[in-house]
Amino acid sequence: MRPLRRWPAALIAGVSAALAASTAAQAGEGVIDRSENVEAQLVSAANAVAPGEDVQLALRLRMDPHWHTYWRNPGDAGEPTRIDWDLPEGFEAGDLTWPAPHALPFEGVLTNYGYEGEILLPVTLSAPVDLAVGTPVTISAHATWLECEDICIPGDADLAIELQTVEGSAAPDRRWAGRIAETIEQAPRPEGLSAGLERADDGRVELSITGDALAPLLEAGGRAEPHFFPFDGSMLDHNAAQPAVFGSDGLLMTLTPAFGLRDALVELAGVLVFETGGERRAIELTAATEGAVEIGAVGAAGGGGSSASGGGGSLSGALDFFSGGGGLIGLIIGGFLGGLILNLMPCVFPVLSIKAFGFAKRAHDHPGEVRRHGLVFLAGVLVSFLALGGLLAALQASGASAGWGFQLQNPLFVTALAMLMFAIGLNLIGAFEIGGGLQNVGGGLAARGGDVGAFFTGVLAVIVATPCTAPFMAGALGFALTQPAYVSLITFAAIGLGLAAPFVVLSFAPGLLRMLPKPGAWMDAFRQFLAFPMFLTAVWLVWVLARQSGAEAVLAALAAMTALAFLIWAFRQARSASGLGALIGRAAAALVFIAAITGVALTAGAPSAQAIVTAEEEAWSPERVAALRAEGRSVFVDFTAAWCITCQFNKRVALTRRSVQDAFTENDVVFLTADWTSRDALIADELARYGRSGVPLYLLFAPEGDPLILPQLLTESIVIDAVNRVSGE
Amino acid sequence: MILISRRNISLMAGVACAAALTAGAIISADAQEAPAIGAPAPDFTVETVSGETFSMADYADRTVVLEWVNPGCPYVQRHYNTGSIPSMQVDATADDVVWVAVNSTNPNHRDYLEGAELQAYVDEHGGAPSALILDPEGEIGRLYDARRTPDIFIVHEGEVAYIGAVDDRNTADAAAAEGATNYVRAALTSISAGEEIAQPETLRYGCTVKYS
Repeated sequence: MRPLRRWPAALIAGVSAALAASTAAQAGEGVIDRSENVEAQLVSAANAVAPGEDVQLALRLRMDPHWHTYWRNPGDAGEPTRIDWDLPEGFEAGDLTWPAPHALPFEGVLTNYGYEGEILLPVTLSAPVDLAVGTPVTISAHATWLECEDICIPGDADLAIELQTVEGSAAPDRRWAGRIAETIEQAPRPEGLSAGLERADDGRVELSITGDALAPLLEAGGRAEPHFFPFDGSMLDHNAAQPAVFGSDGLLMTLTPAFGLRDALVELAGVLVFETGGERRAIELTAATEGAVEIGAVGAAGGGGSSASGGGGSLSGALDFFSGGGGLIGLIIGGFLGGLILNLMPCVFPVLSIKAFGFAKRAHDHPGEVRRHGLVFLAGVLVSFLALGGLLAALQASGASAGWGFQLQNPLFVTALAMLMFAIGLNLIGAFEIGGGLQNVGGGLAARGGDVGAFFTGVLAVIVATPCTAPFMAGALGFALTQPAYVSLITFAAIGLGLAAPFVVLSFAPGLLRMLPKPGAWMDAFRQFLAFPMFLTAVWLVWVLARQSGAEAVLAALAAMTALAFLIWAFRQARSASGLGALIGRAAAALVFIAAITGVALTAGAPSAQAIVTAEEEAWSPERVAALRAEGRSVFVDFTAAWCITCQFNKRVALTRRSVQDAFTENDVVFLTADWTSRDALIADELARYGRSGVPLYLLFAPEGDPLILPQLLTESIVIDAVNRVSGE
Repeated sequence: MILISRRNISLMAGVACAAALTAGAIISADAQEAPAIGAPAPDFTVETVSGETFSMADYADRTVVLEWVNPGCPYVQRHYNTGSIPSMQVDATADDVVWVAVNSTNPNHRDYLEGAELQAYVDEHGGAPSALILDPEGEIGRLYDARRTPDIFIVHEGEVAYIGAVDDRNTADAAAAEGATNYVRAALTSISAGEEIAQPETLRYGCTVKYS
């Protein structure tokens, strides 16, 4: 795998000499040399140099689309760009100035630090005091780097630039002076930040930072996506998340140490990078080991700046408030509203409405018991939600890229859920009846058994609710999961309260119960009718499974559902049979069921690649976005998943509509799909970059600048307006 | 209508809980901790390129070197072209150390090699690992949190003893690597002398492991 040879040195020298001699345009720019995928050149802020003066040079690297080179600390892999100078007598070159790096995640397993596109690496050249004026000098250098796409190739270039020698000061070069100055201006340097290091209880390291320069970051909170890039590659696990807490005076980042920082705290120097108002800022800092600096009151920061999401006017503003812009209170309200709306989701509604009618029936005779059931139900919901929140937080703490709905990325879980929905449907339609477990329609239960039933109804409500991300909830959760564990647990609890609220209110207000229709024969029909939303939910889950794992998994799941029905039927038959016959019947049914479940376990586990993206949808990748933008085109990215109802809803009502499609075509917007149906760390990382832990997320990239973040509930006009805005109409 | 007894409900609830827990365990298996110095080395059993079965557990009383290899990577090429890794494989296996070279490149990557091709590459360069292993799904790589080629893990008597690079030169250029300090030889020498390894963790470098 040797790189193709670069141009013969003789040719370069010849071209260089010819151009330098023939045209003044050559001054300020050196010859261009290329490796396989990177173009290199020395450029100068002035076309001449004076005795005893400095001149700003820069190494210009232009990477081909998809290719990158590395920062001074390359991260998990790679190699920093190096330059060896061959200077005339008395000249001296300083160190390269490194612009703020970008984190380049790779397959979720590792993270590199580097650059794509074109960069300048400025360097100061000092001329000797006794420089003879009048004869041009040639500054030569050999640059080496590692260029990587999905493979890495060492690259190098022989570079030279000729500078005139003049008395006094040299005139700036029009082409490069501005860009070099701008690069130096934006490059990270110390801006008076104070920083301290402390060991967290879990062995990680807490980096606390304060200083005036942080003001815009603190105002933007999580949306500024602060990231700390250490200079020394042995200090931190580059691939670990860097959760941040924002105080009134500073921020606290929890970093995962590598071996350089694992046993003892040492001084940690690096660059803090964040984005506010579409501008990327980078500040150099050195954290002392004397301990934390005071970051002020936590939660006070993060005001309602709406620069990051300009999508849909007031709706977007409202969503913004519930998505972290409104602080903890906003999160709680958003979570509560989301939970409330969950009650109406097609998978949750049947389960809970049956329960509610059960209440109505009993409220007359046993009001006290109904109140207690309401509270026990609440406990069941809260315990389940907190368990889910705790599991998510634990997964995140261990570095896994988990978000809301993560369990649906597991085909076995999807199959189990489909079977549960199917079983509930069978139960509702009357194929079998559970002796007073899931719903108390039958009545006549001992009080204690009813409590257990109420608790598990709460658990069941949460389980069936997991596929349904209600509006308001996604935003609140997405932001909460980027916050410390207690914030996300509080948000989860708020969703649970919202989900349980209608029920608890009903159980405490018999007056309301009386407003419900009187129980009667119609209830049987209604109950049977409610089986169909459950069956439809099961059908939808099987479709999710098809996208995840292909036809074999669907076959196994449907066979398992048939076996489940057979099991129920066989148990019914066995009841009327006696002795040995009943035993054989039950054993046979159980065997068939176990065989079917084994089949599911064997086939559903293996994801099938062909199922991920449909033919007409182009798959998202950060490289593809960069390449399209480099061509001057706009890009719309749909972060979606088959199991995300909101995503499918938006797709039907907005994204696939003719008017929207026409708007995309007219404005030359390329539509890319990031399908999160199965686990994908790259997508999870991109979601995290925008403060989300789950889908949907809609991004609209103009060729330049930051993307527009669209609301989570789309309408045709929201999308079309956004497209027109980006296209400058 | 049939009434399923309460005992059956609890049975069903138990099955449901077990299913949920299994799903949780499958999900969290991905998120397990990377091995640390002194921790038990993750076990795996796999068929080698030559068709034998290799199991870490079989070498619980030995020293095992795990090398992540990808002949398409310039850094790996540097070590094979200069004989740095092949000579270590020869010397280590002569000293009764088990040397396992693992290629976690996914089959869709242009660097992917079939077992015979990998064997040929190692043979051409005079290498002599105890076992060559293809890990196309990246399971072993992720088990050890191998991130680069060539990453080296040394396991001594079942515990992770060294995690790091071959040497102290982050370069694919053989000339620039002259006079490098070889961490792996130093670690193996310390282990056979019964001494503590001076640098049990070093700064790793190289190409990304080409996971699927």
